[in-house]
Amino acid sequence: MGFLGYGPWFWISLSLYAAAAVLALALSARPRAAHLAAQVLSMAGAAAGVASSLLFLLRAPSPSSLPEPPLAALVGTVPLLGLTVVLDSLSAVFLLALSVLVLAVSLFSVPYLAPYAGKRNLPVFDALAALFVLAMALVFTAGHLVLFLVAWEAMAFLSYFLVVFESEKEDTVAAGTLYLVMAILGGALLLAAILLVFSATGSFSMRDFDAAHLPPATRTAVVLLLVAAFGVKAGVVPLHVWLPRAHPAAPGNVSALMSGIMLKTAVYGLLRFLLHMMGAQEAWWGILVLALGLLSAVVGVAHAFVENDLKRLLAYSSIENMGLIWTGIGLGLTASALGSPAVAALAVFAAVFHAFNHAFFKGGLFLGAGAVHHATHMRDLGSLGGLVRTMPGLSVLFLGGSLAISALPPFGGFASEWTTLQALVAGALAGPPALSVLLAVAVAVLALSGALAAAAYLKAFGVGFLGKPRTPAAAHATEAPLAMRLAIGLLVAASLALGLAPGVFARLSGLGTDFSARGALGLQLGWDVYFEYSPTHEGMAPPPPLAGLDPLPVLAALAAVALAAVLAVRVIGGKRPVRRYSTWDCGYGEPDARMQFSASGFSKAFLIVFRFLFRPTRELKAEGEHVYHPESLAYTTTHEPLVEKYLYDPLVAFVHRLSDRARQAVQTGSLRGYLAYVLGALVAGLLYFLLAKGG
Amino acid sequence: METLGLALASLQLLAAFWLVAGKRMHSHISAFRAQAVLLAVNVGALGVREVLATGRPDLLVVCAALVALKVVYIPRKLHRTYAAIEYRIEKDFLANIPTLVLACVALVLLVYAAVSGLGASVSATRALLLVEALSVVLVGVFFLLSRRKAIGQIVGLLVIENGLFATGLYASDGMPFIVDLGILLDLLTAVLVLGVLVLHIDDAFETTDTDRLDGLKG
Amino acid sequence: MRALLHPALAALLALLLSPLPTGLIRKVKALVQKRRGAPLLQLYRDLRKLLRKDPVVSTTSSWVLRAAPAVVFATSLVACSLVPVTVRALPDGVPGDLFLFFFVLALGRFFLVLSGMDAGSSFGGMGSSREALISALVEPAAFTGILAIAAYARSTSFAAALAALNGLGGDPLLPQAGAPTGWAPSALFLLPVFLAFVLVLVAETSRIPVDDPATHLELTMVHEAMILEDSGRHLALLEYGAALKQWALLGLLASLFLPFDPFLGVAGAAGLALSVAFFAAKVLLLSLLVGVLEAATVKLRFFSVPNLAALAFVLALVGFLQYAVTGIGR
Repeated sequence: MGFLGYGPWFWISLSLYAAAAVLALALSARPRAAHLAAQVLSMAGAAAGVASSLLFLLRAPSPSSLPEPPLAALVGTVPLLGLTVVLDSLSAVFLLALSVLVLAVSLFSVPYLAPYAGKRNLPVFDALAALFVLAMALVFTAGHLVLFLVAWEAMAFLSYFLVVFESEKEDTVAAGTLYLVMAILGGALLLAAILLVFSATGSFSMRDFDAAHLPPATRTAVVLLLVAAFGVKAGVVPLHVWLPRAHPAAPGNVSALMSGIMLKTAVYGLLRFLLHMMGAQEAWWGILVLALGLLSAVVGVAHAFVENDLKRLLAYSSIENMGLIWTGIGLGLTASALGSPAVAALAVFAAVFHAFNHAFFKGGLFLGAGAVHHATHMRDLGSLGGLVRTMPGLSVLFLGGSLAISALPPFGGFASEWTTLQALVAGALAGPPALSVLLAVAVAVLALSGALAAAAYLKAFGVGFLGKPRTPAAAHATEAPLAMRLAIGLLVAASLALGLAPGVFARLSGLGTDFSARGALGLQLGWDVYFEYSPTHEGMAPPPPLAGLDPLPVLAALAAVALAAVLAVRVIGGKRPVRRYSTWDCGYGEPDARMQFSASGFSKAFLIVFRFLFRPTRELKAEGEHVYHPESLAYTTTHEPLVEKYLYDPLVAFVHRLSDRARQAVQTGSLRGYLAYVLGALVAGLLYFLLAKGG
Repeated sequence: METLGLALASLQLLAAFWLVAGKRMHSHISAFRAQAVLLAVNVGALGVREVLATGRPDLLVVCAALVALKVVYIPRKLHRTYAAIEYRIEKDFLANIPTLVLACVALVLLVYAAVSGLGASVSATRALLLVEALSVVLVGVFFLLSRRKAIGQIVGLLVIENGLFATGLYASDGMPFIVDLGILLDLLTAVLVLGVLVLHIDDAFETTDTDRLDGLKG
Repeated sequence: MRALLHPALAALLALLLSPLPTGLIRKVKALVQKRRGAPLLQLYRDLRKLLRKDPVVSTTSSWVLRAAPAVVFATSLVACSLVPVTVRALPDGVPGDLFLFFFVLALGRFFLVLSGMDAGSSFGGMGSSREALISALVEPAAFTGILAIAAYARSTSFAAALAALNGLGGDPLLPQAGAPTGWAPSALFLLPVFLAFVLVLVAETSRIPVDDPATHLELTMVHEAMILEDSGRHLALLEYGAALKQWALLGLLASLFLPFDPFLGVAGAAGLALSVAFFAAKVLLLSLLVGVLEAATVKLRFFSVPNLAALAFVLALVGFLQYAVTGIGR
């Protein structure tokens, strides 16, 4: 691997993705061959991407002890257009996450999409998917604002086509349309921000972006536009409405890519623009991001818990995780603006670490949901159950992913949540009192959302995989194909490795916190790349020493104790055979699948406790003559999403009314009328020019 | 060189007037073709000069693409589409021809007034070139407005594009290579799509009079 | 190697003594109710009896039901080993931090809740659902309490907390810092946090007023409903695990909030033994308090538990705000 540098490997990776797309189209007469070829080439491209990012992260540090300038490594220039592609630590970390995820997803797609061959235009889908990955790789490495924008929009549009793959379903098309509208909105906001920046600085290059030249009013507008644009992409509340619809509508492999890495482009963008390019100048930027993050964490996890559709549950949980990441970024921005680089570095590291982790475990969970759907054609938890016996291998992997996302040791999710908590504590201890109180609330919110996330995944695994199968389809499910299990296993193993050795990631990413050295923040490892502070800032004290985390001994102790306990009880109690008997039934008769605790029942108590958020209703319908012995009982519960009801519905109604009026007045429906508008606009433009010049 | 450009540009404007004054579809297409030839000659001349000066063949490539698309392919495609539609005698234009031509002259005067507002920031020759090119655009839009049949409207669209192309050429000595090619590609797609659309409209309404589309309003 | 000595000691102490608080609490309750009650060592006997019985496992269940007891036991014991039993451990290093402590317990709870759902029983599912909600509701109080302690100790690590609360961390209210006094006057600011942690302990150990460990009505059970399908050695490990978890939480309170130790002057192994014994005595004292609390209150309606959790959170937040206002730790 050493014979080529990270630059060539990067171009090889991009070329392989492009080749996958071309080959899929070229072989479209033979869909199966095209599918296989596209996925294999994508895997090769992903492997090259892993090589490129790892080579960059492992490269020998420059001989001078000076910190390298941001966006240091120029990988190359897009021919004819002069658009630069660059790598730095931040880009490389996200590129690594993308590449590993694509590796697993492509492997998964081979058996997952095979049933569609011949029935649907699989080669076109494969080609679009490969181009989607290519666009994301360019988003992470663009060194030029125009290239960033083009890649960003390409990513949005390509993913739209992937979402509406199963276009015969009305829900899917509606979800896709909503997604497209929100994506276009976000793209427009980003375009506006970039044009504002350009109008002030006159340069599209990220490298010589000079925030000092922005007038304060423009800067405020740019920050608000960027937060909104990235907020739409990240699915931050209240801009999240598209996410829980689009992610479940897409095929499993696409949801894994979208949730695993596409959402992270918003994280990358926020860090790249607000922190790196604009230098986190004012504290309120971070407070805004932090507040949005906290809101998203609570609202996201609350909806995840009450959701009964497995993929929608995962999608809402993505909103929660984006909320946690935004919380970290927000603290990083604020601390940076208040002049506490150590707290800022820790917070941003925590956010990037969590984003990196989330790419793997959420990717794995979405692939797991895809595998369940592949085997049972169902996503509703209320129709599943008992999969732990019919799909044992997949169950273990899904449980691993659930533990990881519930932030439980020894998985990566725990390490990054722990780091985020430490960053909040450090900020609360170092910051001014008002900030301390806000961060105390943030700690509580993180605790609540972490525990509720665990509850949501207990529901997903407990109802979906344990107990008795609730439908014949679930009872007759067969184990997922080996390639699927390998792909999910790769992601879960990566998550486990990150949890066992968080320090390795810290060193590798160059985002520098040394976990093993207790009591010290080892921040010398390259954070200077992102932080340049003027020492005149006052307001935040130097951070206190923090606790250390070394998960490996903890896991070793847990394993040893569990093993010893199992052995000890056998030694003390003697050989006692396990007897099998039916579940306790109060003496009536064996409980059947319908008597189990249902998915809605599991979260019903929560729904009632948090009724201000859901406004639940319930209705019991009894049919039959006698009140106490009805022939049938129907029990329905509903709950309403508040954000949609009180923010989006009035907005939509208003736009509708406005459009109706506008249509009657302006939209005559006559082609000639429209052409007259065009001529009128041209003449008006010329007249305006004439008068403006004259005046 | 400048003189040549000026001459070609005024010929293009004349071609636009020819378009507005024409009654038959074949004359519209011929007018468009003539305009395209003039544009190609202009681009070709600039291209030759650039090759001699800097060695970059960009403009010559654009010229070749222009000839292939606008002089050869698109007119033929339009003729064929027209032939595929059942022939009917219908009134096509909105008002009588002299009125239309007079309205166009008014538009050209407006453009002249607007460009003269630029003052000394551009040379006199360039200002004249801009007047010609922008007038082509406006006349094209006006033509689009004054015809009812779909094919005529396609030709109008193409003439507008010619005008825009020329404006870009005169305003900045040629747009970036990639933009030129992109526009041409766009145009090709538009003509293909519109050609199909015309056939469909003819099928559905038994006429290509686009005023009938008003009935689709919801 | 010396660094492992104290965790091992803490684990051993917990293994030996953890069933005792349960017996003590039951005894206190019985005496308050004018009953004689079960012997103090009843739980030890129960465990021995359970180990010698054949486990019965539901035909519906899977490996989760059989693995959960071992996981619960292991996480509880590891949590016990994280709690420092004496300030003498400091020079050798005290591993872990308070967040880790709660995350390790959460891992055990995750498997416990899953095992409740494994057999497909509605009772198990109901207990699991309630446990998941209750634990989520008290988590903010616990973490905010940790923040308050960290504000005082300047770190979330056990080592720093132990040092600060024993007066080693440069207490501003002490004339001179440096020598272990076994008492830091400024720690009184943490009184609300202590009360918050008592409520967390009540919820986490399934005690009145949150849950009733003595109930035999399935519909009101939380913890007992989850372990309804376990028997034999599986139930033994679960009961032992629950006792260990209780020991760990009581120990946490004793170690952080009752940092007195009259035997610090005694050197050598004898001194260590005295200090450890004093720690055990403090834990038993706290369990007496829990027993009185359990006898004096009634079980809350399930939907009133959120109010209790909110109270705990407010107490913890007040504890932190005292820091933010007074700036004790700065």
